[in-house]
Amino acid sequence: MNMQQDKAKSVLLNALEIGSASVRQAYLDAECAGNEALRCEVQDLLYYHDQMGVLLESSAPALAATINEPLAERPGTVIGPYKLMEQIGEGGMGLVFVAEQQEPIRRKVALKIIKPSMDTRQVIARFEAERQALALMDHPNIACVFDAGTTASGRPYFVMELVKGIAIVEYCDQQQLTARERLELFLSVCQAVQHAHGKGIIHRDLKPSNILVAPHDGVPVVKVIDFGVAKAIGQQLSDKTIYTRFTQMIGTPLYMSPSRRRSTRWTWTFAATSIVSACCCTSC
Amino acid sequence: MSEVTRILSAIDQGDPHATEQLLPLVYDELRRLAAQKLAQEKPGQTLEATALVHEAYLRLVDVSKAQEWDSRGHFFAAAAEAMRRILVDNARRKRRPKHGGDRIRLDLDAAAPIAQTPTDDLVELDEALSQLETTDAVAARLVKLRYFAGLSMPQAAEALGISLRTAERNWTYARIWLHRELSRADEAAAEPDPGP
Repeated sequence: MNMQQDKAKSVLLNALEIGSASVRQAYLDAECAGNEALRCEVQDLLYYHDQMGVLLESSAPALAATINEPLAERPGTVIGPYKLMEQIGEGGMGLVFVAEQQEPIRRKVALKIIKPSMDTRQVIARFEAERQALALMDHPNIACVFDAGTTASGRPYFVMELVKGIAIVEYCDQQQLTARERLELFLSVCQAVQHAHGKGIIHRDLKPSNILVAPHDGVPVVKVIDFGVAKAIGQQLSDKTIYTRFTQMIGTPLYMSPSRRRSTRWTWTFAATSIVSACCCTSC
Repeated sequence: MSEVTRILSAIDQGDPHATEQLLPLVYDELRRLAAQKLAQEKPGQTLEATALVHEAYLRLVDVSKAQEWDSRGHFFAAAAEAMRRILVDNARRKRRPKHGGDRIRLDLDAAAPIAQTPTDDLVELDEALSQLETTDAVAARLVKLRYFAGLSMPQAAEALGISLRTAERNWTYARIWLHRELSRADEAAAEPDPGP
């Protein structure tokens, strides 16, 4: 350790042993006089001392046998009141199943669960953020969350309304909608996104496959699903730290704007333009 | 006399090469012991890493011969480092997303032990600890002995050949330093907020 660090260490530890705040301050002033770098370093360490909680007070993690660990969730698996049926989706971190809810009411729902082996702290935090983002939404064009929980093996899941629809571009093509009709449908998407923005949530991964259209009483209804990479502005979506490692991609490359550092509105406009182009170009 | 005891004795006698032999041997022994015990446990049951180290000590070291704190110190230092590697290697492996297949964990080769708690924490701690090793060797050694080998403060102080008070001061310092290092790593990894 170099001299400066050595000095900082000793001043820090001596300071911590002083009970009285005023005496401590006097000590620090005396030791750090004329040495701003030392003072900063000691203050910095004192700050982290106050924050450190119970770091390392427990001992190392336990070892566990994993022979005979149950296989992953599959059709037929029962999780709480939900019985899994067919798998309908797979994302970077989760699997989506159709599930049959048994109680308190019987109905079909969509159950999204973290993939096996992805239950790291970081992924769980992001998964919970998605659930929370969806739960904050209250809009006819955004899939709603009914329930959330954790399986016996400790993996989080949440339950949403089952959207029996197809991706927006395919829908438009199948129904051979005119450009005007497509844009009207797209208006619902804008309204959904505006609602999300109003709640301080940015979707960050808008693309045709996240926008479904399902008929409700003969009328096509747009539903935005999958807030998997949603980010909250100005509020915490999850009480666990969400951070982005440089090795993980956020968003789907084809639809991300060139510069993610630009304003949200600009970024959304880029995605919107791309989605509208995708919807409309196929009709030309 | 067990191999480990022989090496500890050689270390005590000042053999410069003996220390290097200790870690790989202790590492293998710990893994073997863990596998053996885990095979006897019901699935899902856990084995405290520190309990394993202590049991290994009792099995591998002829206590009547290894009276000097030097030997104990060397054994536990090696055991702590070995346990650290076992846990961190598994944590790193567990973090990598698996592609395809239903099996949740690694296929077990002779019941390779697998750490159960948040793997991100352990990998980050390991990195921070490596940093600490370069700037304050004593503090780092203390952390390893206490956290991975489960030594009490007095035991760790003795193993390191320092006073109890010095150990306590170093422990406080190490915790502060590591907390800062971990916090900085978290901040560095966090994505910057998009502008208004």
